[in-house]
Amino acid sequence: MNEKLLVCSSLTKLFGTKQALTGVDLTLGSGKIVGLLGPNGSGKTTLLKLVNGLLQPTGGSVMVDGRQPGVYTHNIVSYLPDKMFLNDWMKVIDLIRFFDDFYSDFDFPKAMEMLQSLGLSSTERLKTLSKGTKEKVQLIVTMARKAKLYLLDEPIGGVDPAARDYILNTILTNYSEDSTVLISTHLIADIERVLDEVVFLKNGELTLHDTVDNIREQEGKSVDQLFREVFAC
Amino acid sequence: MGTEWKITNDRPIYLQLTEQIVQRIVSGQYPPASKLPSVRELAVEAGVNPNTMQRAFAELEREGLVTTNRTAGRIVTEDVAMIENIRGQLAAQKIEEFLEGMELLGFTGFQAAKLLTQYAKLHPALEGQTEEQLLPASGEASLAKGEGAL
Amino acid sequence: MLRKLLKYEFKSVFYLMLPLYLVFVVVSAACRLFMNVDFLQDMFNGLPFFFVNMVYFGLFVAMMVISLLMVVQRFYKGLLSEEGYLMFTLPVRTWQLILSKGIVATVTVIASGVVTLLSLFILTMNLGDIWSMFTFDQDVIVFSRLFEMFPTWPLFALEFVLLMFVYLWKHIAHAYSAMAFGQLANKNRVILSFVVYGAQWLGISFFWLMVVSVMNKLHFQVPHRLSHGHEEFFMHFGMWMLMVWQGLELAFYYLTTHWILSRHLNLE
Repeated sequence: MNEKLLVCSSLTKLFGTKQALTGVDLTLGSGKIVGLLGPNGSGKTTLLKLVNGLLQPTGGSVMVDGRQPGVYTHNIVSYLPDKMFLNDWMKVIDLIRFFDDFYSDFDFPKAMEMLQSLGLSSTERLKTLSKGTKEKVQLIVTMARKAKLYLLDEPIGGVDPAARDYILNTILTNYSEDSTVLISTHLIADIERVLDEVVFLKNGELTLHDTVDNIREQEGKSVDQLFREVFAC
Repeated sequence: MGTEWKITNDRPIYLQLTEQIVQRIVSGQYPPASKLPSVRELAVEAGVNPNTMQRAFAELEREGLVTTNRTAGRIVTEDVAMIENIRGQLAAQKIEEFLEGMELLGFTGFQAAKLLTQYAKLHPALEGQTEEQLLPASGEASLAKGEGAL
Repeated sequence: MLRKLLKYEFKSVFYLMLPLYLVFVVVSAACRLFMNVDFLQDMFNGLPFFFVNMVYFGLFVAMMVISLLMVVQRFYKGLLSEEGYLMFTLPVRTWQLILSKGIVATVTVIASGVVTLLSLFILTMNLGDIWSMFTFDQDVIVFSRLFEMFPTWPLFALEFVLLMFVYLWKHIAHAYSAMAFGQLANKNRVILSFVVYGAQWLGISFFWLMVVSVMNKLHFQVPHRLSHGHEEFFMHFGMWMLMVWQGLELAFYYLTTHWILSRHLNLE
């Protein structure tokens, strides 16, 4: 158990003059499934990119297991970006071998098993896959790792309900006390049950960080309902 | 076999899980002294967070309905009287709700009870069952207690 | 880790380049066959002949352009676009990423050069010429002359090859550096890359101009009496100076690339 698996302190990111994140203080322990909730453009993706070192903070700091983003953190963080990172020439199996090569915590048989249960062929070229299928492949390589911190950026955004259930099921079966899953989404109703904690981001500011049951107890309503009120359009 | 897990929006999830596990225990789906499925299994089955399921079990352990055995894992209490007691309380609650509803329709308690017996005799699902089976001895005893509370 | 990176980098480049090389060689051979058939040359006022030449020339240019594009694109698309999400979250160091791109770029340029030479060879060489290559009488004379006039010419050749490599690497690193600067922008990254490329070139040229003019002011010159009789030594010295000069530029471009990618990554 690590109470400080992810620590963001006064994390701030500016794009030009636009505030993407403003003074975010967030500490996540291990053994949690956490929802990073906020409408589009609230800074969810920016936060995840900062944790991965794909962006550099304008102010404040981000630490994973006590270290700044780098080779060590890349070894323990499994990241599903909201972008298609797939290389044109690869077949599905090439991508799986790629991950197996670079990540010592990659579980090759598990990845193959996941491919099979989602009905995907390993010999298909990535280039020819549909967008939804590509997303599934990326999800498989992300979840087939035995990481300490999973960062999933909108994993249920564009997929069909069956795949969404599969994703949630994968997250639940994958759960361990040593690892934490941080899921960013704007579709809360679907995933509320699987979450321990939720983090609300509004215009780059952290407005709420509490457990789902505390929120339900105090507000007498689901996080989804609260979210709709807070971010009423 | 078994009932579906139902989670509503208005209350904490762990409370709802606790209630539904209790339901499974008193109904005999999880018999006394039997080993319970693991937290992880149940969490996946219910599609809820394992920590939330864990919390529901912690609640049940606090109440003494479930005990953790170092070798056998988590088991349902052997205390049949306790289970029956809870079952009676829950039944009383349901009856109270029923009677309240009937009262709104203008039935007195005894009229409602009579109607219920008639209905039970006519109900296809209960056909061929004797009254004995409908009301097992222990159930009768605790029900009496429940009625006393009315 | 560098080995693994190289493996994937080679695959992603040569799955495209190898077929291209093959087509180039085959078309060269076809052109050659076509040119050797006299009546085809005279047909329709030599129009087909002209056409074949154009095809070859087009392919020749395409070969050059694609090779260069490959070098640039493997860095830009492979690190600074979507694929960067994959590469920069790998547990590898930044220098390994840059080096793997650089090594494969070098091999790509050399391979393209070799294939181009091969195609020219196919197109122009006569069988007699090939035969004469294996008869050493002429060569021995040439070499002995060379040794007479210029005893250390093999060293010179080696220096020349080395210099070519440093020069190639400098240009690759220059492109990398410009692209790394370009990705700092939140918009118009490609435009900024080009601007930086030009600005770096201008800046560095200006810098060397200053250095040279300062040296001139200081009358930094090898006196004639010193160099007299040691011309060969000073030629080698000159080569090494060129290498140091290009090497310094290479270092500058590499270090700026590394600095930006490791400290100021700004993926879209």
